[in-house]
Amino acid sequence: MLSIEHLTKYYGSKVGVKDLSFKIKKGKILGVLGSNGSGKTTTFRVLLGLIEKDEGKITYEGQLLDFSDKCLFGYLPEEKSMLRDLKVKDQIAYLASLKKIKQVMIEEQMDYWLKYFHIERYRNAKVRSLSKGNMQLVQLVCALVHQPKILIFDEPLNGLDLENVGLFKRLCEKLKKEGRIILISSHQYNNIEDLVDDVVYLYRGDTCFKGNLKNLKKKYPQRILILDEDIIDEKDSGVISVEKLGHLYHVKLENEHVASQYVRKLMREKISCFSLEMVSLQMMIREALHERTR
Amino acid sequence: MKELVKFSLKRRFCNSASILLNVLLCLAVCGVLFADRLIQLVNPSLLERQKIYVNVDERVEAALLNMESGLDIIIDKGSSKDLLDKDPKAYVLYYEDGYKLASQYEVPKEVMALVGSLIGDVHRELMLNEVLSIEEMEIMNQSFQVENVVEYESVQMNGDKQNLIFMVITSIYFTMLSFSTSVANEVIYEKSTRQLELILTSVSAKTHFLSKMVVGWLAILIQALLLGNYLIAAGCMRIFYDGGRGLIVLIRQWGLFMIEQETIVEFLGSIPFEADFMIKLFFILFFLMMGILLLQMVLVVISSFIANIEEAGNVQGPFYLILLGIYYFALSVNTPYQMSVGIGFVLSFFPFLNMLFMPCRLLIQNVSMIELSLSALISTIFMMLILSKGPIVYQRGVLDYTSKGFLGVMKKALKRGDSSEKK
Repeated sequence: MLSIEHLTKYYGSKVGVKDLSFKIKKGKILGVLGSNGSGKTTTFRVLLGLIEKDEGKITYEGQLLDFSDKCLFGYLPEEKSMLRDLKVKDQIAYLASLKKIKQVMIEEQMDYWLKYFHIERYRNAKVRSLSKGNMQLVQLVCALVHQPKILIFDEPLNGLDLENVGLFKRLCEKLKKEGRIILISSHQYNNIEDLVDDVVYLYRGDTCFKGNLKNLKKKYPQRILILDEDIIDEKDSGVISVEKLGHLYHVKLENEHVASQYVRKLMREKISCFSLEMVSLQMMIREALHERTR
Repeated sequence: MKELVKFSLKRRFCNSASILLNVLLCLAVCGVLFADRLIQLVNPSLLERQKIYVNVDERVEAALLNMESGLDIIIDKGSSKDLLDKDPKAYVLYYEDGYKLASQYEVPKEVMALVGSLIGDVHRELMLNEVLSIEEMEIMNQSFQVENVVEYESVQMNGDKQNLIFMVITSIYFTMLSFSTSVANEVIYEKSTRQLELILTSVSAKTHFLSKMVVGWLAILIQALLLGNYLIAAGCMRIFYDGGRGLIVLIRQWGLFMIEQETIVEFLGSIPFEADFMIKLFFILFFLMMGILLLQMVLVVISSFIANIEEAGNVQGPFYLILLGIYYFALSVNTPYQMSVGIGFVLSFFPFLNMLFMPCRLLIQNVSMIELSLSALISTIFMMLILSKGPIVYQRGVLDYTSKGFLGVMKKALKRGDSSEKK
């Protein structure tokens, strides 16, 4: 288990992250979420030993983290961090060799992951010749090749197409099954919502909310009815709000009971093109921010 | 178009590095235009007229005193040795089977010519205006060529060998400079591509810093080895071809060096690889390498604060200017006097500066082992200091996510370094 207690980091007088605490078990995924400049990357950099924390304690399996095990973390940074004049294989091998991995192991793992992401044909290509998405996949290989126990993915979905987003999700499931700990930061809440087990939401360095996503959602009894016709009014009973997003209407209902009434009504009116959902992560965040700024 | 030009100019000139470069340039220009005032402040003795103690015939002395020569003529009947001990920079003019100009170090040819012409004028004046005895007339008629008597026991090497070694030093100096900058650029490249962040998850900033030093040194050594091999290979080919006769003729024709031997093999055989020469060579290389290592360290530390390639050029520009300045300064003060008791002597003990000044001293005089050891020790201590503080500042620089400037981060880093050492 990876545990962070009361982590605080200041940049001069500015708060990087303040009093952050969370625990994450093996085989679980934690979504470290927040707006820009909320302290997500700072948290990752402290975890990786890139910057020193001002206060707090970080433990892994009950032991204080001393950063001596360079293979413990696999890191996918937010920005493209590649030497563009290198070949893909050389870039991967170089970063892996710094982790003191044997050459045979590097080759074996590199082959495996390049095949996994369907980019083995780029093995001898220069990094600069790759598309943004493929570069991101190569960076993922760099983060995985030394078989780390903890993975930190900072904006992993940047530049990935729909197919590769699916591939990434399958990767996360695989890593979970293998008992790895994964920390993900992303602004694509709809894509990571079904991936993460726990979330911690940061706002300007402070922890806005945190916990198991399922349990957090239970605190929100509201249901969202999505349909393409404007047939429910905000003034109708049990309706909290109606919001038009694109060509769809998102109707926020008070609870499950109200939702079932509206579903029956829609069925009676022979409207079958609708969906009923629980409150999304995005909505939870919006609610939390609304609460905070009120 | 206007916006593009405006943006580029603003980016180029409105940054701290560019401002620093311009401040340095401004100071340099002011320094040149106010050189006399600065010298007056720092070392007024440099502006003094050349002193010549004169101990000759009284009439000649009187005539010399009355002449406007640009020299500071002082009549003194003391022995030349005592006078030179008292004032090593001065010359002593005396008569002993002809005029002799005693000095601790070799007198420049222009000064010799000036003194010779002065005495000639004096003799002519005396012959015209004074009633002289026959013996005196004979003396006056004799050639008034002045001979330089150098009291100082030095300069073991011949001029050609000195020139050759100085050429080698110059080439090594500039080659090493370029290698040092390339290491610094490597850091900037890794930082600007964000690769450094990934690297530092695997190795410590200290290891990374030290690896850059090793890379810089190894690059120089490998390049030197390669060059050595090319020389040997080409030399062998030339020896096989004509023994190098044609080349030696060409060198003689162009007056580059006076080589008496006919072939390369004979020339190599004539080089006296004595212990003294080898020790000198060793120390010359030692000080050069030490200086470059220091320079490399400083450049790499500074580079850690640079975020992009454009900024790199601006920061390295002033460095090149400073180093070029040091090189030309070393050339200008490369005289026996300056290197024995003057500014060259003092600077040969300064870390980094000794990489040029100490080899210059070694080339023109015998430097005592105590002086060599002291200079080497000072450099080593200074290097250890940078080695201990450098990685701390470097780490701050490469992983600085604050908006603080170079000085702010450096101050904080050194402070942090001190406190962590105390812990």
